Amino acid sequence: MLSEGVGLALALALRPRGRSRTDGIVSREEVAAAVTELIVEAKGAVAREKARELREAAAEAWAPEGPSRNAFQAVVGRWKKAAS
Amino acid sequence: MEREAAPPAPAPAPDKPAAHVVLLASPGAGHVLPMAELVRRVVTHHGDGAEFTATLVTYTNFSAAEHSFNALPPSVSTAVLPEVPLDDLPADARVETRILTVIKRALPHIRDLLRSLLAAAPAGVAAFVPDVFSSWALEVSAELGIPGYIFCTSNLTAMHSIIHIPELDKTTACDCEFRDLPEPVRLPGCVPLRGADLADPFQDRTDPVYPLMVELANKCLLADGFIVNTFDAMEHEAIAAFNVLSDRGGYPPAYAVGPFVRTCSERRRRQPAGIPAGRVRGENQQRHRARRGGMGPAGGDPEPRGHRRVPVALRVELDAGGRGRGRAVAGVAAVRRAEDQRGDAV
Repeated sequence: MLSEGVGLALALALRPRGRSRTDGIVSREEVAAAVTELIVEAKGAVAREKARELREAAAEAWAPEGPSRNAFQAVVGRWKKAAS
Repeated sequence: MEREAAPPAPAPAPDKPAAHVVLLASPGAGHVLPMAELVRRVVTHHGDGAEFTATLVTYTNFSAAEHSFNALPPSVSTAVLPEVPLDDLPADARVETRILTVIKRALPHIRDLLRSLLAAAPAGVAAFVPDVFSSWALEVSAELGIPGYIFCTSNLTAMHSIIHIPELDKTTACDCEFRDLPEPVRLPGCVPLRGADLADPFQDRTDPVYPLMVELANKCLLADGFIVNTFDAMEHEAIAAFNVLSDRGGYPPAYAVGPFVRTCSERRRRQPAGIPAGRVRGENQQRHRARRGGMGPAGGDPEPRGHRRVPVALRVELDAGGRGRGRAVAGVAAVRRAEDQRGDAV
């Protein structure tokens, strides 16, 4: 989701282990390539820019009247009503 | 039942007792830490002046010997559910099977705890909030007439994919694993998910954990609402589409209240030294001490300062997995190596 939907991350390939499964481990070469791509290379620039945007949006989400704070007040408001 | 403070804390005004909220975090720091952050916000960020007190409940199984929540506000009490036996599980049971078994077996303890809190709290219990793994507990809160809300420590796409599993289970041939589905799973507003992208415990339908996960997904639907650690800018379409489904009555409403993150400096300032950690840290601490010479297990700063930056969540999750599959064991080994290298540099 983070790589395809939000464009924030790069997907890593899992090291294969027999048949169709993998052992869930990403090789160090794969990590090194992805980190270089993300931090240095042009392809990572999109993800870097997206990360900046999301960092700002995350801060705004909990600012007064921010969407997350409002959603939080809404659910907590229901609890208050239930309690009174 | 071990209590570390007498819940609920005194009400701010004698004529209006504080509403009490009970939160339940399943084992693993990935659940305990966001839940601790949620409870902190419940008692400190309130709209028009009404106050909340809260009890944060954790399990003994798979937890460090001591859960220390020094950073929690004084209006938050903590309670630890008694340990439940797991000796009868096969040695190769997955970690998720173990955790979900703990949760199911501890339900009577949750009932006892909620009953005693109902009796003690002047204004009753306004809400009960388990995380996704503990969704079975919603049956207990419903039975006691307490509104129940699931806290999803991940995003809404993850939450939506979990509650979609029972449907996927019914409509997929028994002999087909989800990773072999020819088409991606398309949930309204969500990125299409390849079957292989679904959570690991869904990937082997013959494993005992699979029916447990389907059961877990069904129990989630007992909730009066989902509190999700996501935010509009991250999942705008997924949130909007889910709300449409919820308005039609199929699903509980979702509240996108995230992200529950803190800056590193905040974390360092607030994080208590005894944050729940697993076996991995304990062993390494001893090794560090041995290397630095003579610091007894009970003495002083439990870790060299810089080490606290290593994500504790990672270590505990890996530790929990260490009893399960080789993959997690390999992960633990990697973390240990990393720690050893740092240890040498100290």
